Amino acid sequence: MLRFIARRLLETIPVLLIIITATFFMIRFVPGGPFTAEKAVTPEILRNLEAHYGLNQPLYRQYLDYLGSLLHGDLGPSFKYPNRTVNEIIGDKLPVSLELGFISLSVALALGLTLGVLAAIRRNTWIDYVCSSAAMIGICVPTFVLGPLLVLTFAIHFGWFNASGWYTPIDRVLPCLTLGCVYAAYIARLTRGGMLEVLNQDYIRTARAKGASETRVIFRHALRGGLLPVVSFLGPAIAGILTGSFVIETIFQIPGLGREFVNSAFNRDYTLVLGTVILYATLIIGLNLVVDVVQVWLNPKLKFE
Amino acid sequence: MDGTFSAMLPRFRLPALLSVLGLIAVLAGCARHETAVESGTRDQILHFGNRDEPADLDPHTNNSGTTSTILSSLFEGLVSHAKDGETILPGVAERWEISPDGLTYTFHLRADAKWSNGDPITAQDFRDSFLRVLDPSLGCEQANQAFPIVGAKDFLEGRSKDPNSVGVQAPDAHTFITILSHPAPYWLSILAQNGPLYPLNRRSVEAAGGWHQRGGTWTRPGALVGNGPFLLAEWRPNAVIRVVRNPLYWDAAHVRLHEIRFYPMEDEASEERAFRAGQLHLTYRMPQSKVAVYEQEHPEELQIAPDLRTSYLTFNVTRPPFTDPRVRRAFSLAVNREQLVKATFGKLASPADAFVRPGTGGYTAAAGFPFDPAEARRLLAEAGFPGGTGLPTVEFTLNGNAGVTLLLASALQAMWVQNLGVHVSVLPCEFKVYLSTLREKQFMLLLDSWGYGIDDPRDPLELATTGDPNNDSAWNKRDYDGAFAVADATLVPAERRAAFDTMNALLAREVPYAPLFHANQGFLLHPSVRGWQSNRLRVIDWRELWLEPSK
Repeated sequence: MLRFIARRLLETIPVLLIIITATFFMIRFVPGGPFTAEKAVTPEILRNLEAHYGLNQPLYRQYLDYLGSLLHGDLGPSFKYPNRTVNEIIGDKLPVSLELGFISLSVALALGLTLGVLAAIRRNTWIDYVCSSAAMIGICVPTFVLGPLLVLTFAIHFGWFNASGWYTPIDRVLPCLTLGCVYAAYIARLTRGGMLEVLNQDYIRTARAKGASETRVIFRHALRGGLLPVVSFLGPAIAGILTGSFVIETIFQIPGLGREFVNSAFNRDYTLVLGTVILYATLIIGLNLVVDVVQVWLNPKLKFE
Repeated sequence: MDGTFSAMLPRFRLPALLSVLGLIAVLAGCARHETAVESGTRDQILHFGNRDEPADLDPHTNNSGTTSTILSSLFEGLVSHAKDGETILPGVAERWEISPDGLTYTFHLRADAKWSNGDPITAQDFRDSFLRVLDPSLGCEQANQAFPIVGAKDFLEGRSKDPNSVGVQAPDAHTFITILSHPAPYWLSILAQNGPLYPLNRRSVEAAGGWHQRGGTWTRPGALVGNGPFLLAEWRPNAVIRVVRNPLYWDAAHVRLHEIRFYPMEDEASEERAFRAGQLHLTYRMPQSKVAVYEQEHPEELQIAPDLRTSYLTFNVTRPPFTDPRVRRAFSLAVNREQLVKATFGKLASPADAFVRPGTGGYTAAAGFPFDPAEARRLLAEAGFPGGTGLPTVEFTLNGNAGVTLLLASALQAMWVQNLGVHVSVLPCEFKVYLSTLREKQFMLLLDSWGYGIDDPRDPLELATTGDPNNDSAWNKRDYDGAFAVADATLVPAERRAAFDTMNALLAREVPYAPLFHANQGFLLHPSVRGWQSNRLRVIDWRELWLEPSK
């Protein structure tokens, strides 16, 4: 297993290099630059600004300089926020996105697994219909509808929460619930499907025949196999929950990294775009590796090779 | 329950625990708590919705209007605007004299003006700061505000390296003199606005980077030294900027608010919901769709006031068919502006019949952009395109694809088809793509807008002068440039007005730009905010504001 992990980690280096190179050049070829503003400045001012950030150097030179500072862990200064470095911005915003992501994920797992297992073991009863319909609704309702709906009900009508912001622990409830519900819906459907498939397997019948209690059959034998599709979904989903929370972060005015990621592209904040892309690429690669390891552990049919 | 089941428990413990905690949190919160507005009103803490996260808090590199609002609480210039946005009040300068030729302004600084670190504010601070703005290595995007000063442009553009060639002098600690190259009657307005001409404390800037360097860390809480009514206490990017009363401000006795919290609110719908949930005393803007709702249900919270921003069509006069002024006029005459505004922005805009908003700097131009489809058709035929035949497909470039922008474009499209028989294809572009398209003149027709830097007709009218970096139409007319120079050089109000009239008449005849409407500010203001006066420049005299529960 260690060899497997080591090999996968080594493979990461060229993959990251390709991603960095492609992003570096793609963002440079997009029209407009960091200093293209609504009010045009004189060419002299623009030249001075570009010189300050080294944008007057040949592109290959800038690329090599960037790689050089990257080796020292320096992601450079932000163009949009001149008094902050990209390292600082990520250090500031990533914990917020992580907190939002992990609470939401916990909500998603708690809700999704419960609904999915219930629906599977009470297949074709009203419980199944209620759980499956709830999941279907969760999949169909986008976050930008669910979020404002929750705000209108619980923040404005009942006055229990703030409509936006990320100041006190109570401010976490609505955004995490919104984001969690959407993922819970997917998890519920996958769990139900996985469980149903496993419950029809011979080894479940064997377990029952040997007199195992229903609880033991469900939790000890069936769930382990039934969770496989959920686990493979979780890898990209965790990355998605961290990167894709742009909408939630905007609706609830959360100072997270998802907003910086999207806005940096609009602002042509070259260094911030690269910094966030590198971070997310690493995250996705890392999470996929974790998922692969967990899958082998859950499914005896798979091996590390 | 058998042992293996409980062995499975740890796997579920965390989610279960969290959901229980979540439930407790929900139940604990199940009482309508005191809102931020309620407690803020009691404690004189103003909760201010301010749209954008500031890029930085250095007034000399700032180019954002919303950041200017924050800066106006932290800094004070030589003079300032009263809450009506027009009257000029003394700032750090307690009085000033203007020479009879209108070129020399002598400011007498008040002796009790202090920086927030206790240093006295001197004339040298102003001289250093003005020169910093004009220093080529700083790259100040609004340095052109200082161009009326003699030698300023040459110094900025590197033709002169001698700071003494710039008309700013500090003969003693309390006397500051600016010498202008032409009598600019709007000079005090430039100095008063929340612009780049605030003084900076050189010692604090140099302690965290170079004096001529962008992006120093001196703008952070604890390091920022200002001279305004408030001090920077906290800056949590994308969350809140908190400023508290500055006890060393010379007029601190008149500051009634204890604290202001500025919240960046990227999404206007979220901002409106936050206002309704009692988190904000005022919003920066509001969704157009909510205007009617507030008019009906909470008229006391709705604020609509003129804004100094005009939206217009820009014709690329270097590309056919818009090389012909008749075609440009035809396109303008075919637009029913009343109907256009009614169908799109409603009360958040006023139809425009001149390029300059009526009343700007006390000046109102004659109406020059009527709706006349018959004349439009005649002109188009005269230009060789009767009924639109033979006219190439016109590409109409838009800034972004927001709902209201597309609505506006399709309404215009329909008017041109109906009144001229011409087909226009719409091309929405992402903001920076749009900007580079217009800077490189790679367009035929644009939907554009301009926010005036100062309350004076010269600001929007400069857009049509030859060689101006913001003259996107590429139009040039010697008579127009001549009139513009006269308006800048004269001290006689009647002569100045006559020059503006000439420029407006030329614009109406040649139509490099076709004004469509002037924007209005629409925002929400809680009745507990007292002393508020909406004005065109969106300037706030913070000393005038206080909070008191509404009855």
